[in-house]
Amino acid sequence: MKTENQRAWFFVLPVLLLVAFNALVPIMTVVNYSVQETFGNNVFFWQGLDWFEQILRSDRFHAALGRQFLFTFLILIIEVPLGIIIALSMPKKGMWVPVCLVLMALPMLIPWNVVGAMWNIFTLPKIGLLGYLMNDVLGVNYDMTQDPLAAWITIIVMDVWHWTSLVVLLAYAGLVSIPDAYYQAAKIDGASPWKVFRYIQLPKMKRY
Amino acid sequence: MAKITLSNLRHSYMPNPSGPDDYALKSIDLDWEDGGAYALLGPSGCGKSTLLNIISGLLVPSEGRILFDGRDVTDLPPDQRNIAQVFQFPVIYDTMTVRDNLAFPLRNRGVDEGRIAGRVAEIAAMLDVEAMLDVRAAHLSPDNKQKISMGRGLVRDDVNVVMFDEPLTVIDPHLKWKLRSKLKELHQRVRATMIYVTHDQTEALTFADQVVVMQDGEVVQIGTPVELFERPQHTFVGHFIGSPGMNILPASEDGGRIVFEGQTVPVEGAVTGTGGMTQLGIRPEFVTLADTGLPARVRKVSDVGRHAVVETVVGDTPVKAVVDHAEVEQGAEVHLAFRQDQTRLYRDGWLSTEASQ
Repeated sequence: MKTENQRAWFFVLPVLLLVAFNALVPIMTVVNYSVQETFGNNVFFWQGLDWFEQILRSDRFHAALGRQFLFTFLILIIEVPLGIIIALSMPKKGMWVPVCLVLMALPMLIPWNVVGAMWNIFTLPKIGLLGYLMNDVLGVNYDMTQDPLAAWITIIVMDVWHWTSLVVLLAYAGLVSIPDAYYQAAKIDGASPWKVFRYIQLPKMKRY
Repeated sequence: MAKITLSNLRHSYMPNPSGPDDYALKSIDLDWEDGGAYALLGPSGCGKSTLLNIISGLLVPSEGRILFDGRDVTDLPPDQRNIAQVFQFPVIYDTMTVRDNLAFPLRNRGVDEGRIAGRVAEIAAMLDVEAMLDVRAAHLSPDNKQKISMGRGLVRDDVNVVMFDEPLTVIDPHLKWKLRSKLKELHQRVRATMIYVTHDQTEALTFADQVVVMQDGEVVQIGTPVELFERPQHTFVGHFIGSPGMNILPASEDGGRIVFEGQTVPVEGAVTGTGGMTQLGIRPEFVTLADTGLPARVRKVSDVGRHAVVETVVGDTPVKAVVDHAEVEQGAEVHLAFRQDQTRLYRDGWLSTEASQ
């Protein structure tokens, strides 16, 4: 006979406390600030939903949100197909597998704030390696601090560099999990390489 | 449909095989008659899947030729050989419906949609899957998935041979029987050559008209289930087929007599050949407990329902007997009688007595 008791809660308690202090309390503080105004000295005045109204009516906010969506759309449309193509062309067995996997994982291991700092210096005209190369060696006018188009291209390239590996690894995991029998059956069924991709490889990759 | 001839086939997975041990298949010469139901039986690792993949074209043999109706297809890729293969684990295209799965091999070959619809309906009726034609294949149970992968093989009416590579491995035991009889029924209806690979003797013996027994990359015996049971050409066949398998007993030749544990044992017919390692072979079904004969001690009696298996030792050699009712108990001293026309001599593993007249 199993006796029911509530002892399990004690095992969850430390985690609950931890989450409360490093997530729940800070978040609720921010929520509290969102309905207050202050002029310093830790003195707060009730402001109600004014901040929210201002934000929702702000043209600058709308523009930023639009740019965010455009950015997300652009990087996804580049990273997903690129990642799949890289995963498809990676070796399935042999000594090159670990080499490829480690190379792929490297950019993802760098924290995102470091990625920003790194790329900022990397692309600065005159100082950064890329900035110097573009302006002073290749003679292409490139200054992401002044030119919006250059800035767009820079952050997109940066994101592609940072996150394409994630797509590669997920797609690769799906690909190597396909048993040989599937490819053999497709061969016997007379499927073209495109159909193998469309009906065997793509569905398996989607599952991850 | 076609007759399949394998001639001097050898295959090694190594680039430079040096000895016979490096070969997964050692010299295979076989004819598969058009429309036959064959089973390829042998323990894991005996080369049966290798042989299957060579016939289907997924593997190119190191040496030898494969002929379909006399036409050399050794270098043809699988899709040009018009074969079908059903794998151990059901291979289906998850994202397609059952209907599209069945139509897939035809669409890839550019058959017109009207004919495809007809063929798919016909095959679906044969497999009893009409009700699920519009279901996404991913949602099917394993046995239905396996039916669909069989269906994809049968949907083409020009298949030379349908091959099954241990197709019932993932099927629940109570459905195995159903699928097996379905297969037998399908064979009778479509009359295509079928090759069924398995390590399960029940599956092989119930499905096939002819069973090819393989061991260590070699064909040991080809025969009907009855032939394999009654006159195994090799001790391996005797041991592998039957439950329990044949008693294989160390014996020696003394003049014309065969001696086992100091006693002369009469065998079925004239002994052929000389030398080598000699063994007696007799199926437990033909060993009886008698008043006179080889003295033995009963070690264990297992009642398996229809009959009982009596495990005895003669000297140090274990001998099994299958009897209707076990009236003996463990430890009892008994005598064993071997039915003479079922007692055979094997020399280095191969049958070395002539059949009794």
